[in-house]
Amino acid sequence: MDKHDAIVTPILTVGRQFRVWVLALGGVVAWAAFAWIWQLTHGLGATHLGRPVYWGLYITNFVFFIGVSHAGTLISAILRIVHAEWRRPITRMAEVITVLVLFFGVGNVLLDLGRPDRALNVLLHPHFRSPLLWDVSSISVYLTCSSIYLYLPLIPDIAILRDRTTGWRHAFYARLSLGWTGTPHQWHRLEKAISVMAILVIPVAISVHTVVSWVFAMTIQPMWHSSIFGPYFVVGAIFSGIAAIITAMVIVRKVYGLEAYLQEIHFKNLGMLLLVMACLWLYFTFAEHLTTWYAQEPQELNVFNAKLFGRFAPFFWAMALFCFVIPFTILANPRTLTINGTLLASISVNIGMWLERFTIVVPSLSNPRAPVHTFIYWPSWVEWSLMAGCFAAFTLLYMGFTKLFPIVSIWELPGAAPGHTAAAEPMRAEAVGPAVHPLGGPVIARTVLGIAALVAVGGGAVVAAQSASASKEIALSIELPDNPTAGARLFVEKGCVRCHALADDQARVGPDLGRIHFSGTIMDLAGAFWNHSPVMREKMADLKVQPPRLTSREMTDLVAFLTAYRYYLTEVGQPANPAAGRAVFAAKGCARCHAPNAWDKPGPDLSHYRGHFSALFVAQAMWNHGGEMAKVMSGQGVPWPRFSGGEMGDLVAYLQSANEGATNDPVYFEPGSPRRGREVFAAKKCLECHSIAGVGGRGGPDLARGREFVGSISTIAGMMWNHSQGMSAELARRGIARVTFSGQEMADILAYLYFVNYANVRGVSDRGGIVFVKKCSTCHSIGGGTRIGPDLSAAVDLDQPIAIMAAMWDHASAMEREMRTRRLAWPRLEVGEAADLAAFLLTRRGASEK
Amino acid sequence: MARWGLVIDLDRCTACQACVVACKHENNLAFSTPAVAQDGRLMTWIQIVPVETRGGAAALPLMCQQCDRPPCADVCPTSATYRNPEGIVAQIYPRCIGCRYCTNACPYAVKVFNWTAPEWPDAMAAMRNPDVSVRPKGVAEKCTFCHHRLQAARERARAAGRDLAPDDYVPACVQTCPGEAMVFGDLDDPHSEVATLADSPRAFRWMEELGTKPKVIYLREGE
Repeated sequence: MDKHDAIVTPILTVGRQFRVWVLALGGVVAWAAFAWIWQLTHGLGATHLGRPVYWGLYITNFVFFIGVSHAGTLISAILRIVHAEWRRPITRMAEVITVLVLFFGVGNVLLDLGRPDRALNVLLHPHFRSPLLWDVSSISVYLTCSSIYLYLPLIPDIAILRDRTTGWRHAFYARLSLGWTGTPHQWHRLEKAISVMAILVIPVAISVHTVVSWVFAMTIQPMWHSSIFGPYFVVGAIFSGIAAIITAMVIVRKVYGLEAYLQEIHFKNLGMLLLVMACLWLYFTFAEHLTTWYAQEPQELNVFNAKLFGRFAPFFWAMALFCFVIPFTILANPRTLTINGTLLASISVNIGMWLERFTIVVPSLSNPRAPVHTFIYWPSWVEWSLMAGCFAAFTLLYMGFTKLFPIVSIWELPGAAPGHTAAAEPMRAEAVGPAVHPLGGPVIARTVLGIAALVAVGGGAVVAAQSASASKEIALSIELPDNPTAGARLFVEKGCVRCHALADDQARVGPDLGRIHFSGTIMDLAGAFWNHSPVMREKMADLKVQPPRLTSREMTDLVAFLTAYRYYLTEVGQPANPAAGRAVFAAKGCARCHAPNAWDKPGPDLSHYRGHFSALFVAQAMWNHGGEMAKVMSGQGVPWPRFSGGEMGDLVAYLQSANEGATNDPVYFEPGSPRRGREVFAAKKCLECHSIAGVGGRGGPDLARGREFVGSISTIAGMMWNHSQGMSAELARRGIARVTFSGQEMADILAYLYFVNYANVRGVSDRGGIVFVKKCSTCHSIGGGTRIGPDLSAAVDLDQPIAIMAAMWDHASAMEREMRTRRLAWPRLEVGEAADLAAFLLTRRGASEK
Repeated sequence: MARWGLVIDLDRCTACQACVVACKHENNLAFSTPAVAQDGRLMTWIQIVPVETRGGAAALPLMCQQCDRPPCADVCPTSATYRNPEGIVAQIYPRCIGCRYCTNACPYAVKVFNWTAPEWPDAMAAMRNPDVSVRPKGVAEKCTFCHHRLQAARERARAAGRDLAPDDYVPACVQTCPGEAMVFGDLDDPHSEVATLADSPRAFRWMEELGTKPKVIYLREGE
């Protein structure tokens, strides 16, 4: 979140400029309050209204403000629904405009009432035939919906602030965040709610300004009674709404330094929208006036002439200039379609649209049908003051909002740069829980068929290597790597190192793969890769990095490398304690035989071993000498010491430190080759007594112990030491000579034991089938032809689990695109599912090939 | 149920404005000055307005036309103005919120609004009619065909144990007109004078093409 400081910091601080503006605007609001009290005392006589001009500035402002309130809906809801990603930094700003300005729209009606104290009569004695009541209903619904629509996407950001603040702020945010913790379940519900509101709020918004227009259109007054008013006002509302957003954006961007978030492209896009609306506005205005003029109906012509040539001509033609001529000139020319250009255009549009409202309200009233006395209306100081107060109060409230909540929606930001494909909401890997499919008829049918097919085919297609359990569990054949460090080169070449550190201190974009203690099988690792794929690709697109493609070979090496890296880490990451090792050396009685310069002791002086020797070396030496040591110790009556936990590691560390010439540099050593180690394991007759996952001999323990061998070499060496007595006895009983290991052989064997868990993966085909149906079958079939994605029985090279994972990795971008357009959630693979899925795919492919 | 209507013979009307004065006096209209009138705030329920007719300009006494399809009643959000069963478009002053939608909807521009609290010079204040409420600032008002007179007449008739006679209820303007240009009565009563006059070949209703169905019928000037 540090990278979003620009958004968060303004909330927590109040600058001098802010205070100055608050004071100035507060002064205006105070003056307006005084004017209002004046009006309440003296009645609406404080205005310059009279018969027949019963409505003037207040109603103009009412229509204008309600029009501006369409800002939020358009940008937020419509652009969200059409997946226009560039809207992301703008939505919050727009939604706030909507909610706040609605209060001033309604407020102006209240200012205009002769008896505001009786305003509730509208609810107590409603007359539903009155368009004003349609207004009340529509605007109330719109205000409610807009408030909800503002609040829902605000919740995750409030949670961010809650976690970053203390004191009253923290309590405030904690209340408002409704216990948001960002679990996949919560994200899912939030995204759903926002989508519903986005769709709901659009017809409500359209109804609002249509109904406002019908206040005028439902009367029989000349140039009010026009059927075009509904759409005309809606177009005008969207028009002035966009202009309001642009103005707000420019100011907020300048004041809060949000240049990184609100870029040229946003203003360009909004500017183009504004241009389209300007043309639309011109079309409607032209149609309206041409129709009126052509029919030459006398009463309408009175008003028409007053607007275009008479008393209101300056306002009318100014409106045309500000609403169309200026904006069109600026926005149609690519050279002037800049941030400043759109600002000018938007200010012009807002002035023009205000004039438009004015020239709709007043000229018709000034030219009544009846020949009563009329007069020239010009607003009084009270009316101007209240208008200024409304604008000032709106600005103040907006500023207040920016001091409480982020004005740019932080959690929606990935993909703020328009033009690239950010993951749309349903694709967020962390956001969604178990895969959510739109459960329509086809999906249910496929599920049923799939399960039935599984049951039918499953029996004959299982590749039974050896399975102890009754369920059709198969051992997946994973190739043992030969040189795990080959993957290190790939890690750099493929660019992984750009985002992922390996136990580095420098924080990077992605998680530090060296510090993650991953204790699952290789298939679980692959499953974790899969789950992270959308997030990774989002970030890659952010950084304009092409996702790397991996062949099956490369995937093998890479995964082997990451697995082997644990090897390094458990030595490097957890340095042992030499002081404790000295205590071990004494407590286990090693000193009895091994002492410095003890020419009369049976064991060698361990301080002779100079340089950095590794735990591997210790393990090898202790093993090789183990037989002799045992003889001597039993001859002297010394009990065979047992090592537990990190004691062997501490001992090694002590021995290293006690050595002359030892330094404090951490010791690195290469793991051996697991594949060679398997051969060594057989050649040295280990297989006679030990089995690996049930394959091998009996007498000794099975060495495919997942958890126990995820430890350091020292720990493993300690375990071997502990067992060596028993092993010696058994070896003697079977007449097998005790073997010794060279350094490389020891490294290879230990590597093999280390990787035995990596390669020992079992998957249950049935379970995999269910996973496939739930998570994959929308797009893929096996032998059922191409659906949205390819038929997996036809795809080549899907014969090995690693190959499957490599193919899935390579196709992830294309898969994501498809799923996004179909609004499908990225399925997550739980622990064990990847193995089951691989088992299923392998058996089914085997079956369909037959 | 009666359906009250008014017939005004423009041949007899001399535009003397006695009706205007009588209405103001009867209905406690606020005191207005020429300056106030200049600002469009003249408080009057009846005016003489100049209209174009075939014979030239004519003077038309213009008051609420008591439409059978009143645009003002359609748009009032609180039903503070409504058409009662006897055809009079009535006002509920305590309910009016002063939004002035009705004043804007009326094509005849006969509704007025209390921009300020009404005032009278002391001498006039003593002459106010106790039968009619004084409207506060912030509410709309208009001619009610002197509805209070109808209520009083009904009570008198009931007290006397008889039905309402045609002469029992006349609005102030009708009562005052020196030229006897106004005739008032029940349009639905086939024997009433208004019903007969309403069918006269000289009869017209103003702006009736708008569909308001006004119940003030004018008799145009003869040749």
